[in-house]
Amino acid sequence: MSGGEFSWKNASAGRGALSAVKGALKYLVVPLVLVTLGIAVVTNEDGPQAIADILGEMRSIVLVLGAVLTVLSFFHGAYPKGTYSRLTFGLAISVLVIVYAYLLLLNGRTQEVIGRELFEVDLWLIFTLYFFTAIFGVLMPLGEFMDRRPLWLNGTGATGTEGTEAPEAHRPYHDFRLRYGSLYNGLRLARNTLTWSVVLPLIVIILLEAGLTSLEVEELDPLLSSLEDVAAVVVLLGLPMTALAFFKGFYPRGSVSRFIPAEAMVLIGLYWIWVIGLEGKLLMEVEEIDISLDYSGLLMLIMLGSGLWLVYYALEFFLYRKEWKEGGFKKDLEKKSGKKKTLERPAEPLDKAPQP
Amino acid sequence: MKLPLLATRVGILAVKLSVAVLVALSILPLLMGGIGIGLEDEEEGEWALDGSTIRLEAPLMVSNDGFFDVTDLRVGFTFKDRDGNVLAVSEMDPVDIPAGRETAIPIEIALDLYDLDRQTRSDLIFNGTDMAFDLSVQARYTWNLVGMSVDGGSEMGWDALLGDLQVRSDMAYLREMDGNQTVVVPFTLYANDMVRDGQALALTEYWDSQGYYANVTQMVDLSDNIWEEAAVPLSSEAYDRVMTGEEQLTVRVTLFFLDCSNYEETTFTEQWGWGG
Repeated sequence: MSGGEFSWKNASAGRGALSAVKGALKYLVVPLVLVTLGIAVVTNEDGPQAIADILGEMRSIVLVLGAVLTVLSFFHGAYPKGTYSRLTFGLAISVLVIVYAYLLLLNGRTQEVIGRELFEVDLWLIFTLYFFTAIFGVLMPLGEFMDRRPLWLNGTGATGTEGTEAPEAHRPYHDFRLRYGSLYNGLRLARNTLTWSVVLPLIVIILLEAGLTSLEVEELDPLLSSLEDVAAVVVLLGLPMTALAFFKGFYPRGSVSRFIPAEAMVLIGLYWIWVIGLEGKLLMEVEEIDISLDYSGLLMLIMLGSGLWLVYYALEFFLYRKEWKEGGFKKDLEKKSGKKKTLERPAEPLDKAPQP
Repeated sequence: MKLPLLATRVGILAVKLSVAVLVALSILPLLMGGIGIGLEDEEEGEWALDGSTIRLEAPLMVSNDGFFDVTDLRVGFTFKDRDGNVLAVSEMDPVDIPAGRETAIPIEIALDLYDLDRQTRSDLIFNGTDMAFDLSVQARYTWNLVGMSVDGGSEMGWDALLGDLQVRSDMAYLREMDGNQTVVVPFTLYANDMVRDGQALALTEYWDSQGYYANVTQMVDLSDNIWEEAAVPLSSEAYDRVMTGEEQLTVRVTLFFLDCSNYEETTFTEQWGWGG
């Protein structure tokens, strides 16, 4: 590591400002608006003072940590990818965000007040779930650093494998070589999948269970029981999907190593939708009246839409395969959902040249 | 992004958006009370006896202010006796309720008493009983993508159609008709609204301790207050025995209705008093 990488010569104030705006929105403005709105609602509606008090404390935390994270975001964005300086600020942000979330629990008082004024909910469990995704947040700057470091050091624009490979000697199983992969993309997609297919559904289930249990309605017991079953299946399916998502993100478009996990992920995802949709049937018993809702048709339609991803990844494989081969089996370091950008490193003025 | 991939993504987005719109348009009317069910007229919906069939006709008004037709609406009733045995099943033909319209659905519950075994029928007619009925409503919505069914049950007390048969021996009297002596025995009974304006057959039997037996049948018009008199012919010997006032007499009135019968019997002596 060189202290020179922290030199402002390597930084771009414009990119830093853009990153600071994003950070400010994410960590300061939106949370502050939400907390302020909460305080306003509680005050106007003569809500419990205890909730107003904890919201007031949260506002202080948001103001302080939001401001710090905004500043860190500025420096994180200002330094180029692959530098120790960017890595340091990226790690600092990731860790501080975990601390931020932890502090909002107010050492258990948030849970206590919500339990007393609204319903019993295990916020520690929700925080623990969040923590798993936050770990990916910590690993992502490391992944980005490892992906981009050679680029930064070489300053040649070369990305991916060193040297060239003869396309005719390349076999499909060679696609699984680790050197084709992007750690950052893999970690990012794994984190997103963990968030959307495990953590958020589990949080919704935890909140639903807490809310429904507080109603103390015996008729809802079957629904609560089925929610517990769904939670178990969400974890059982979500974790393999997260693992597959890592490889799907890790390997470049056009590779067999991306195509296979992508298709497997879609198939598991279809079953995941079926399970989380309670198999298209909702049964309730209210005062000896059985109510049954069969929305399996709608669920099938949703699955049909999601099933189109099978076509998408098959098309992607065939459309990018040739390009990837001809390009010399390079890493795919850009976001895969957007327009493919050049992998060449843009020319930089001399004063922004790498300072190894 | 390459065009085929973009097109596929747009397709996926379109399907998902369509589902989201369908869900929203399906749920909103339910949340806003856009689908309502009620009786067209509160006074309608009375049970009536039509031949041997007990029938309830209650036109349901179903309003559908939603965005989709309610299709295949079916309403079914199952009657059960107190032991849970199915007595009758009544199902209406499927009906569609177009969006934005109010539609009257003729709900008809029909229970043919001849479909029941004699004991159950007799209980329904003369004794009253406890019955259970299950209601089942099924319908489909949102282009048949959503189905809903509601199943409920309830117990109902069933009043006797013909009940409280009493032989009024205390009001019996002797009467001479065209030179023939008769003993007139009044009897009363209660008729449920359902069977009013109908008729039942009454068989009145009379016998004394000396073996004299006579009977008479008559049609009984079923109305609000039923007071009937059975005029039983007496032989001169039987008449004489009655006149001594020491004879023990027995009168049994048997009521016949829909192949079922029920009787009331009383034994009395002259103390019932002479009249006429």
